[in-house]
Amino acid sequence: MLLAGCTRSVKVEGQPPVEEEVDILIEVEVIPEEEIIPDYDSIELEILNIQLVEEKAGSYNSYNPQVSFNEEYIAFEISHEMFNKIYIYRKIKPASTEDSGYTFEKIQEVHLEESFGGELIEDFFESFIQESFNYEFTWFPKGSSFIFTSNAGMGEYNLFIGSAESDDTSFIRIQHRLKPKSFGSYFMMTEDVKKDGQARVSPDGTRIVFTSGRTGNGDLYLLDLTTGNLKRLTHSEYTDFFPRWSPDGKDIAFTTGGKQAHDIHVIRNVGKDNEREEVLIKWFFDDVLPQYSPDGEKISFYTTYNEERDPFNTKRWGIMIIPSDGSAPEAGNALIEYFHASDVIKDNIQGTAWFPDSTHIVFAKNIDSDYNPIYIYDIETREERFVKTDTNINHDITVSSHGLMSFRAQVLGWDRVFIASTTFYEEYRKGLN
Amino acid sequence: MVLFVISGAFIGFAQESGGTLIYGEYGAPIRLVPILANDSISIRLIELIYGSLVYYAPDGEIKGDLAERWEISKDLKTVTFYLRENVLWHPYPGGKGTEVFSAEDVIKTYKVMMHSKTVTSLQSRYSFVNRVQKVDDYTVVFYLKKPILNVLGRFSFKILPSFLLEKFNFLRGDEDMILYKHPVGTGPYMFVSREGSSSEVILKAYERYHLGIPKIEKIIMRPFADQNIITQTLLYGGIDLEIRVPPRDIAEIQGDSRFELIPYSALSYSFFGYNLRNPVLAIKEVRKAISYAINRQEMLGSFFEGKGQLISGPFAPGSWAYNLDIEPFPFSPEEAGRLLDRAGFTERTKQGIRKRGSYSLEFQMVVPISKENETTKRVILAFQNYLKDVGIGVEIVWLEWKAWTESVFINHNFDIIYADWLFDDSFDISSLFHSREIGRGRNNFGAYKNPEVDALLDETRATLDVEKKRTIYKHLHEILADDTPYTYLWTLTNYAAYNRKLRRVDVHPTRFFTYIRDWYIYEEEQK
Amino acid sequence: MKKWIINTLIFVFAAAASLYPIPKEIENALKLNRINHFDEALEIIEQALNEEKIKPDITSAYTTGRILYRKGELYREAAELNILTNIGYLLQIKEREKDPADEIKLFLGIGYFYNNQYLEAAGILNQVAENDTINDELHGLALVYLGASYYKTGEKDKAFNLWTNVDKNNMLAYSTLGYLNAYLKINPSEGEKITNEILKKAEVSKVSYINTLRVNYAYSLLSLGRFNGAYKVLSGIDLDIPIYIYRHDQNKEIRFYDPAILGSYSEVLFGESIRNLEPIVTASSGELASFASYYVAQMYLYLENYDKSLKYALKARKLSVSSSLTMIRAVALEGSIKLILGKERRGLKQLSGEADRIHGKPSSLLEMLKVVISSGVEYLLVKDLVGEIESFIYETEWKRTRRDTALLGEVSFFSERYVKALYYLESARDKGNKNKIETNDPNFLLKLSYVYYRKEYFPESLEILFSLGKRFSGMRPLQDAVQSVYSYKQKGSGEALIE
Repeated sequence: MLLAGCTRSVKVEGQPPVEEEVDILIEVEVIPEEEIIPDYDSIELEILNIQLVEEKAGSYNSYNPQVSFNEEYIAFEISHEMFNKIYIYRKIKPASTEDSGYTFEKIQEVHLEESFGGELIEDFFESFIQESFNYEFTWFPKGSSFIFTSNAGMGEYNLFIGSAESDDTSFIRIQHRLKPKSFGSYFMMTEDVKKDGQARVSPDGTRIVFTSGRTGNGDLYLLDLTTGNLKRLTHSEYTDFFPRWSPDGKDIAFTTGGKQAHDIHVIRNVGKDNEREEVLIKWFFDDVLPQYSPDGEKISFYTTYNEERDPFNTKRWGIMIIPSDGSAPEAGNALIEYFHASDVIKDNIQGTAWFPDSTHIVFAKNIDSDYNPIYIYDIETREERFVKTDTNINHDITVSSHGLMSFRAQVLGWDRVFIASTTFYEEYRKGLN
Repeated sequence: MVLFVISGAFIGFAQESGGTLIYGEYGAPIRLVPILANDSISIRLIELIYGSLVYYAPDGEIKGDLAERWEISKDLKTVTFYLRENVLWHPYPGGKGTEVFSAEDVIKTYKVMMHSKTVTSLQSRYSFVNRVQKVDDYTVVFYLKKPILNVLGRFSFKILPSFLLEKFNFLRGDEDMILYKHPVGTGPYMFVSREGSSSEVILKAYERYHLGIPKIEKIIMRPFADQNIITQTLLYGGIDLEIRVPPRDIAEIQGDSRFELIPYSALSYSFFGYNLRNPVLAIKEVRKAISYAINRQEMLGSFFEGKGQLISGPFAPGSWAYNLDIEPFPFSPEEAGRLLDRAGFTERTKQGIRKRGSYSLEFQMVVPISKENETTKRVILAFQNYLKDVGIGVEIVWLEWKAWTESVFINHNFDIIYADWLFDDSFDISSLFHSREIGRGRNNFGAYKNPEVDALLDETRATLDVEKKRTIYKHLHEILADDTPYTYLWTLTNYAAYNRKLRRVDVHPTRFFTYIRDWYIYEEEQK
Repeated sequence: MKKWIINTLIFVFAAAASLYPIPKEIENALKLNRINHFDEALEIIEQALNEEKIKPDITSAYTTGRILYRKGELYREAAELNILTNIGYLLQIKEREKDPADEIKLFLGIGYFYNNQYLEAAGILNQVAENDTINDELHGLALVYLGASYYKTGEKDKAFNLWTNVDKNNMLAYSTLGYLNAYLKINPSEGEKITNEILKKAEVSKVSYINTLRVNYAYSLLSLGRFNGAYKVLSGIDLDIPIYIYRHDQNKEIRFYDPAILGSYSEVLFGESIRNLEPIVTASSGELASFASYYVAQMYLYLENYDKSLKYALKARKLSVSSSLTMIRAVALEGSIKLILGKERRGLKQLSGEADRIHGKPSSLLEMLKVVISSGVEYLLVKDLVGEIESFIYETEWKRTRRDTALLGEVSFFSERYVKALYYLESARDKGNKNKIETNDPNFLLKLSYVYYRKEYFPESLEILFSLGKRFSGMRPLQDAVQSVYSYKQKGSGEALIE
């Protein structure tokens, strides 16, 4: 005898939540290890061994690779006609340090939705499919937790957290402290009809900054992961978005858009009594997606500055790098000396990719007769050099905290994710053993 | 024309006036002057500010804007417009807003437009007009060289104020004229301000608009330098409408129930066009082989997220002329190889390119540099790779738009192009494929010549029997599919997206804002 | 936001429901059904049965029956819309030409017949019958349908007179006569005999109208209750082939499609579906039986077998819980039958009563109306009731699902409010995948395409049909009609721009 009623089952991939004793966890809290930082000055930066993470075949596009802090995992968004999911792969270390080719194993598909089909008695009338859109993925700075934006097939975008490992401590702690609503093995962190997205976790893992549409024009909010406290950070009538933490966790740089082109602002001393908003860049060129250098001393961003003074000459983005303390001018001719690279491919979320030495960056160049070739740039010598990758239409280039590069490129008509080891990364790995 | 209505006034709310609509464009307008403007961003703003003699209503009927009524002579060679009286031009700095629209404005606009020194391509569109005559202040007569079917629809050019054009007989774009800084028109919205080329363009509803005051009080166009940022700004509430949503963002916006997507398919399609003056490309097997060698379904799915339909001939699927019996060539590199073998290209160069004697399958493709660079690059990269697999080499040359049109239409200095054709309801392809349209500046840029096609095209022109026309077009579709003067690719669906606080949003596929008067914003959501 | 509660509850139910194992093939078929790939789904089940990977049991029968039901409804809708578009198209031609060809009059007349406009049909078919311009086969066809029109207007003697004059060697006309014997319920066995004979004869020669002959035969089998036989005859049929191509000269060609084919095809599908589902009503119990019962009732109504329809509707009511949708639909069906059979007062009473019972639940009211509409009740009979429900719905605020919006569109269409219909149907569309049948119910897309055609937004209409035509055979008659009307009405002036 079969049961009556709607039997649309919620099939969610991923591991089920694990109940653990919180107290025990706190006691076993790991003391941060001393990281052995290689001497980057003595290493010649080279890109080595470019390889595909996923299979070539398949009618879908991959976007936004995000490597976890210890380079153990790589996650990226999959866009297919019928769905937009996030795949998480684990990087399997090769047997010896000599062999630097890696293999990857898919361990999770992040996809919140009600799944259909396969039940004999379904909703009586064949209803219409409701897709879910899952994206804007980023890792917590430690552990294997992550946060992403999803509409869970419900028509509103909110933030969700998950974990690649079932025993991730910070993840379990958040569950117990904040008791967020669960969706299978994922938990909803914000709940508002208007979009909440672009979340970034603070370097100490205790707070999240994100952009919310709940104010009607886009403002930054701070969510405290220990207390659950929500605080509004920006109050302008303009759209404030694309926030980024400084590596010391004190400031947040962000993009703000108004009547004229976008500008870069920073919030100093976030969460403290002397919190204040400061203008870093404000001129008639468009400046977006600020990114801190790993040592926190510089902020790089994309700009439409060009010599012809045409701010909407949309073919041309460049990279500008200013000191993060605000000592550079906001505008004017004096600002131009901070302009570094021109004709750069601007990506949606990634921002500039910094190498761990805070001296080199990597980007794809927008050359008409070529297909987004990759270049490395030394900000001290102001020299750029071409990197031969044999890949085309390169995008979303990122560099992990220890120098592992990842990006996407067009392979046989579809975009796929690649990783490339670098001399910096190899050095770091040597130090681990 | 493909048009549709999304109206929402059924829940009993009165249609509310007021509020501001902010919309985002990818780029900034280049020139806000009719006649000279040829970029879509400017054209959309011009649609808001300026008026024309007639326009198309959503149901396809011609309606009068500045013309109140009209008469067409029996021989279809004379069109008389009786202009609306008491239409005022917008006020402007130095003017009082009391200038009245009259026949002088129409005459002057037409003369400036057709002047050989005016920098515009509109002259060729109105070459069917012999002369224009002002009968009195409110009557204008156009004398045509030959009868034109549905001629009224052609009179959609925007009218400029003669009193501001006074001393100019032609326009190059560098004149010191107030119209360049402050547009003055007869449209539903009047220009308020624009501080510098990088800032917003602000328009205000014109209270004395002759067809009724628009409901939305203010419109602001905000230029953006990046498409995804427009999408994010829309989602976070910074703007209310995005004109052209990049394919990947479509699903993202659709996932948020506060927004509505508007698909609008223009009657257009994309294609690779061939220059048959190249003796190698004149060989049909070679052209066909190229069509078999590329995987169009994959390109459509990957680069455009599948938002479109593959076509098999020179018509969009939404057209009445499309021959449904003809399927697009399947993706078959093997068949491509066989065709090339049959054409004699069995030898190979050192690089693996096929050749036959001194002829090798190496072509030059010219592409216009445009804002949609990335997708174009992807299509071209894929195209190159597919062709490389069957032994054909393609070199790409990127040109500025003007240089590109010259290369293709004037000098015929190219082998292959990648472009789109945009049609109106008549789907008249005669200028594309008739042999008499081969020549400098004409549409048959590839020098395609087929007497059978010529005869059929002539017959469609001559006959008034619609069933006959349709049958002939189907036949043409069949021949042109087989002859492959183009490799026919796809018809894409464009998407705009807006916040649902906007109501009665009705979009014209090419002009976009034609029906802006009826849009309104829910009172609670007005800013 | 409250969905997560529902999700949890559903989780519980699903957990329990999963105790009943469904074979993998059936699961795949259901998934394909969900994305509206009906033929593929049916093939999987058929193959699995042939290869004995699954047993012919309740599960496979129910799944097959359900999919056939959906497919049948699609073709039923296509049949209706095809007749309307075809009449529109042929009328255009007739009005344009000074002296339209008799072929045009013939098919227009046949169209009128199937649109229940018997007087108009008789009028125009008479003209064709009296003339001698068309070929013998078509002339015979004119006589047959003229007779049928007379039959329907009550002049049975005239009808039989005409029919005796039909040449038995005229395969097309004679087979159609056989078909009409069944269709008009005059003598189904005779019909079967005739159509069978002709089909055998025709299989040897190659005629353009072979599909008509096949469908005629299948329909006659259907009318004799031989559901499976009928279904088998039509397996693999290509519904896009015209019955006759009129060629004026090399450059003018008009394709005529048999207006009866799509409707007959849908009924054959219903027959096969009933064959699968009927036994389930008695062989099982609970929800499954009630669903099966309702489907069978609905399909018997489509087949105009009102007694059986009522019987199963009552059964469905007995088997379903009063709060369930099946109950509402079964009652709506009963009421609709009463209206169709002329028992207006009782029918309306039943429907109003049900509406009162479910008052306050807009989704349920819409579902109820959907049944009434699908059953073919005339709008004027239920005008007031529909009006009341519509007013209530417009004044109520509730979170509409896509299905609700689509139903609102259907109701608006039914009450001839085409602007609203367009608004709602367009809102219910998966905009991001606007013409894809995987995320839009094809039946609903078809309706939307028709509304666009009515509102003269032809490119939109044609795009939808283009997409439907890629997966479902039988769209071509509609496409041809809409293309033709568009070509008449287009107002373009010959512009072509390159970008």
